[in-house]
Amino acid sequence: MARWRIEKREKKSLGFVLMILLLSVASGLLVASIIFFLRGVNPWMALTKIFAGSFGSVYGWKETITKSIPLILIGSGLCIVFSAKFWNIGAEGQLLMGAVGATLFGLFLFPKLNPAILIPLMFLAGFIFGAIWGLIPALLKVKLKINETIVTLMLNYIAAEFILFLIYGPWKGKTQFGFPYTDNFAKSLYLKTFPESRVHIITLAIGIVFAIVCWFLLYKTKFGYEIRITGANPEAGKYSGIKTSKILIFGMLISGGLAGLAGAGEILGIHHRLCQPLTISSGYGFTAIIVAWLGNLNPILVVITSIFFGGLLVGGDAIKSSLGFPHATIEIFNGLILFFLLIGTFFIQYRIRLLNKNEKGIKS
Amino acid sequence: MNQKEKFFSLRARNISRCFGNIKANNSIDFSIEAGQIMALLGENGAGKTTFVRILSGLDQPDSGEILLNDQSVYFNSCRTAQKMGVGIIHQHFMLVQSMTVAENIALCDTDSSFIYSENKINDKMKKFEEEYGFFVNPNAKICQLSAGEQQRVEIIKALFRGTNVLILDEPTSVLTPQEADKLFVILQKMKNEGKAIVFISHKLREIMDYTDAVTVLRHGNLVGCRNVNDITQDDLISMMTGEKKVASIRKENVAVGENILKVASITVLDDRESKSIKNMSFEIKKNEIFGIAGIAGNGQRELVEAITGMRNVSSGKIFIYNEEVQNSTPKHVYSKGVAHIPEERIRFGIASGLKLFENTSIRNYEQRPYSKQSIMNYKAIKLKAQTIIEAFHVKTESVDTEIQNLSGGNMQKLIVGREMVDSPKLIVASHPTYGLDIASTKYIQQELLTKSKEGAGVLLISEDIDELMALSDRIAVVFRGELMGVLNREDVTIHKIGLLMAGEELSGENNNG
Repeated sequence: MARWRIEKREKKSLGFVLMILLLSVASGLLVASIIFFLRGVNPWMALTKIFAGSFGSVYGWKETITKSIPLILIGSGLCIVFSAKFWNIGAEGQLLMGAVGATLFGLFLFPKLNPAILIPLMFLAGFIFGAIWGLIPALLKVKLKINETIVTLMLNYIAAEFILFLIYGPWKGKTQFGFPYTDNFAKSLYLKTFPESRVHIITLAIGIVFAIVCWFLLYKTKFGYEIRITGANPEAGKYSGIKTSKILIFGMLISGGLAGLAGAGEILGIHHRLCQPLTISSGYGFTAIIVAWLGNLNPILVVITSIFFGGLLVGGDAIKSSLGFPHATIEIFNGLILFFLLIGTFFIQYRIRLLNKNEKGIKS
Repeated sequence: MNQKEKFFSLRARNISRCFGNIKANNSIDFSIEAGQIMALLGENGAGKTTFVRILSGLDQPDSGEILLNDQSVYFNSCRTAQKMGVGIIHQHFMLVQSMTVAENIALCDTDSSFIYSENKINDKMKKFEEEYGFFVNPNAKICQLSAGEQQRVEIIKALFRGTNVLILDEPTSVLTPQEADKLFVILQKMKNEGKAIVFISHKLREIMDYTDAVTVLRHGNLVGCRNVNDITQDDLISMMTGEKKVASIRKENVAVGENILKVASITVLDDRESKSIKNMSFEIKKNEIFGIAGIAGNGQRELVEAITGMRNVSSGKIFIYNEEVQNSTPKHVYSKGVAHIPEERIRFGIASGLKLFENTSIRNYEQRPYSKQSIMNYKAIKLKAQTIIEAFHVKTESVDTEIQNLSGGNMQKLIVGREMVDSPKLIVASHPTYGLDIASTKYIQQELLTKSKEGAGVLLISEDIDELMALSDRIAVVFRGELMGVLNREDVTIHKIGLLMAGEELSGENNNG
């Protein structure tokens, strides 16, 4: 009979944490390799393609940064609500609604406005739409005690279906030959990118600024202190007189708003129109959850974890195009890495100890 | 051993268990025989709980072995231990509140078939009850039962499982003195049936009166095992603390001054909207310690929450120095000079996961210099935290330590320090020494006395009658949301308090409530 138990680790050095994370990624790659092998592809070649595609070339880096932009924005916002233990898994929907808001302003309400005013206005609209989408579950939680996890999750589908309704229906573009997109934005609204890349500089800058702002908010202000107390122990929050409802609402306005900004950035910088939900976001709202956790809910560290996951997404795309794998393979690949990272985070907190039979020696 | 075999002894040899660097159990030997009641005594942190967890299969030792009838056994879970006849009753009962007694018993009945037979359960229950002389209604819901009755359900559960060794973790802490007496009658009968009983207790009187032997632990080590006939209470104290004598604490009589707190016929609703405090009134004066005794769940929590601004009153008024404070906020009440030492420190008093210094400011972070406008001043907070840990002897590596790494006693000293460092006018202390070792208990009691001497009024809520009698000027007993009587310190006896706690009137006796 195997004798073992789970123990909490007392001290965790940085080197140890890094080693565990590396081991987790390595294990994920190992299992992925088996899958590549079973599909008749040399695993080494596939892995080289993935990393060359994301971190191994200038082009790869540009794409990696592009994909990390929405992750930075969403991840920073999630740090705030997750610190309050409010489980917002609806960033995907908040991102999509942000895209709707930006489109509404840029294409329908004020298409004639000077781009220098309209672009900020579209970002603002994105923020507001995302924030409102995030406000709904916060209000339901605060007023009616409805579980936020389910509400935020379900609102994702509603947002996605709403976009489909818009692009197949009232907003369907007249110049798009019947394809389900809106018309393109005016060329003057296209965001500037780094040369020969899709890195939309403004959104990247906004992302980094907000990562710093969120860090400051969380670790330097009264609001952040109240959030962290409430998250660590809501009863202690009540005891000290913190108004939990105010905090959750404000936190979700920020978190939803930043996801909305990401949505506005994606369509302004990359797509230049409202299109299929799956095209606007390749699951950024969900990937950002693990990005925030791996960043230890510290928005500054989230910038780093975002780039790592941006790279994984790009690497997935690379093997899709070069090895002709179906899209599902990529999702399996990313899923495996996430899965092993989650196991890794468990081993950062705990150890499994085998109880050696020889240890129970009897002294007489 | 299979269950049919007759039980005669349970032994543990060289049991050791470490948590990190702390040796919770260091090579402990233990032995109990059929027909014996054994107390397990020790200060908090002595390793009693760890030891009974190992004995009952909830935890496994790093080294050492357990012998049942002189055969080595290994309990890899409490289920295995139960199968071999070793069962434990936790301090907090493991009962499904919304189910009936019979249903709860069916859950643990190893013989029960897939289809639940109420009659069979009832018959078997009746048999046990006749044997041991107590009765519990099988159709009552658990939530309708008193703590004592719930404990009896736990005992029946253990009997159903064929338990030979019954371990009880502080079984009397939730009982009135009278209920505790009844418990010991049952345990005595079990003993006569050839069962073995192990119980953890802090109460020396109980140990001297009801047990055959006592095993004392200190700092994870075995101090010794004694027959109770051979020793005195003083011996037990010195075995437990390692000191010869502990100076007893007693409040001096002081002239009390003006009113600090006035509670005027308040009614308070609990979370289920039923009245948990009914039309209650009392006053606390300067320099006075006002104790409230009672079994947990008789409205103490709601009373404290109403006074400290955490809960609204549905009628009545609360005055601090003639200013109405009912239905305000905790921050407002705190700003009037009311300190609050909450019950269950880990659940209410600290935010675990945060650092020590972040925990010292949770009451006053809105005041200068701890924050200005919206920006926190963690430097000032750290300085204050440093002052508190020095003044109140909190043992910690630094103010940056994560709060959950402090021991229970140090955590409580930190909370007490945080609440008392700025000389409050009124201290609301809810079970301030619950679960602490003797040294920390004395320290905190002394702090309460010092503050009251300096002029603070103290509302002391406690389940520890000895503590209330030592510290309070007046003691009230709360039962189902009403004060059953207010006794002056010279009129107080344990017997009187026990009667009041059970909701009985003191007929023909003096009480000036």
